[in-house]
Amino acid sequence: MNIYFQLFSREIRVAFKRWTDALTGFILFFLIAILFPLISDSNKEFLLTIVGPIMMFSAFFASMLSMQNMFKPDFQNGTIEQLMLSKGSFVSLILTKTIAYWLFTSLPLILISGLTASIYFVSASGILIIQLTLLLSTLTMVHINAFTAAITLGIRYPGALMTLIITPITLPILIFGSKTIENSILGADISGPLYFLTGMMMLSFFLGPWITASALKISMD
Amino acid sequence: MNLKKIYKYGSPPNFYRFAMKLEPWCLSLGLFLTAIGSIGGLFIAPKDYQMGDAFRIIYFHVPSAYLSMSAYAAMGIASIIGIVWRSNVAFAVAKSIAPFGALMTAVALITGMLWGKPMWGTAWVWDARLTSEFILLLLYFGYIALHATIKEQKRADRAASLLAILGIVNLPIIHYSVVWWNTLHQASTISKLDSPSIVGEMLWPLLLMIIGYMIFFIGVICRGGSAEVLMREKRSNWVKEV
Amino acid sequence: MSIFDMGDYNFYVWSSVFVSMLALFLSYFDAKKKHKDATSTIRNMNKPK
Repeated sequence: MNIYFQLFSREIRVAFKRWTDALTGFILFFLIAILFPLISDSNKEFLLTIVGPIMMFSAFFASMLSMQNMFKPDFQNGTIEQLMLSKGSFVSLILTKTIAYWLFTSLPLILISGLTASIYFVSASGILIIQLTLLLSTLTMVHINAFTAAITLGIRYPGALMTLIITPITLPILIFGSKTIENSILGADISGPLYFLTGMMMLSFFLGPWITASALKISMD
Repeated sequence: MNLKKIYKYGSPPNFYRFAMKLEPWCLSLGLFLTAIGSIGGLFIAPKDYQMGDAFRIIYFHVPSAYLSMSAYAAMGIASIIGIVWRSNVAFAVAKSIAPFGALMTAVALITGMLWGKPMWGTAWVWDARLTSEFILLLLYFGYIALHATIKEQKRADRAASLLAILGIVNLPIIHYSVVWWNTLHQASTISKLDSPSIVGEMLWPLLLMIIGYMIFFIGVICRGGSAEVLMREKRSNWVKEV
Repeated sequence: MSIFDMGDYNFYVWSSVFVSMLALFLSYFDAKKKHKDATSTIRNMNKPK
């Protein structure tokens, strides 16, 4: 257990040093969420229909921003090889890294989403559902981000390729996430899409680190 | 079937010779069946009482959609074989499937749109089946892009195979989307267990088209896969004799 | 009524036919081209011996 804790605290310290990355994602999320009501006709019905997709979309983009820095600096200074050779299971170390990444890029979003959602005239219970949906979907999305970053590791300027790879895999999460938020606002039953989101999150926790580890092994030779 | 025989074809020179011999038969048979199916579907099959002549698009829409999914499944299986058994031939076959599969997906989407516009008034709707077929197209593009971007052949093979394997999850979603959700797209007319809900005179051209497309697909993969095998085995001795 | 006339849906049916046949032939010629490129590359590699 000690090695995972060490990696975790190291990730947190490194993330603090690179706080501008997390801040950029956070500001992006906040800006998108705020600008939409300002630039569109801000009547209540329209905003309520649009809050679901906007929350999901801005969370998606914000988590994509610092994706490159998940593995690239560590690849360049040899940390990843150290991790592969170390005592702990490589897959679990990747999981630790992913969770640290989530803490720094997505957790601030979830906390601020309450404030941003209130601009869209969402009720208090609606805000809770939005935060829950964002929690589940960002937890899934970080695994997909990790896989995409791992598989495009040696490539120069992988930006467009990363977007192309990540979009078809993340699309179902975005669709079900906004469906959940939409249903909760309409008062309809949210259990369907919510169960789907939870299922995908569980699946990503089991498969994600393993497939990211495989991608890293492929990119390392 | 003797297992040793299958292993024999896993070696590049045997695969190459077998594929080059198989190719002209598959292509001509495939084109022949497709031609008969097209003529049957376009001219011989009776008009549908609800949809009129527009339903004839089914003879082009269904085979390409069916093939887009089976091609991806074949690509996924070839990728698994390539990674587990480290087979160059499997990677070559997987890579050659990708452009064909992407083309078939695009044709399925386009013919679907051409069918939807007169029938339901809209060329596109974001329901489960159309969205997941679109996701399939993006998965194909990602696979092709990975191959194109990673310069080192072996690394590109394995990275793209990983992506292909990940995308297999999409296939049951596409197939069962019309069962699980209420979609604009209609339910299946041909299933393995029940008798088809489409009448015989309309059915035979459809089956011919599907089989013709598949055989044509095998023919194209023979040649494309052979080309890929050549590129991978550039430096070995058997290639020099070709 | 010519047998080629599909009524109101003429454009849609025939463009579907066209797109499908185009795709089939494009894939065939793409595979053929790849093979030709591969053989010519190998021939160039082996010629100046």
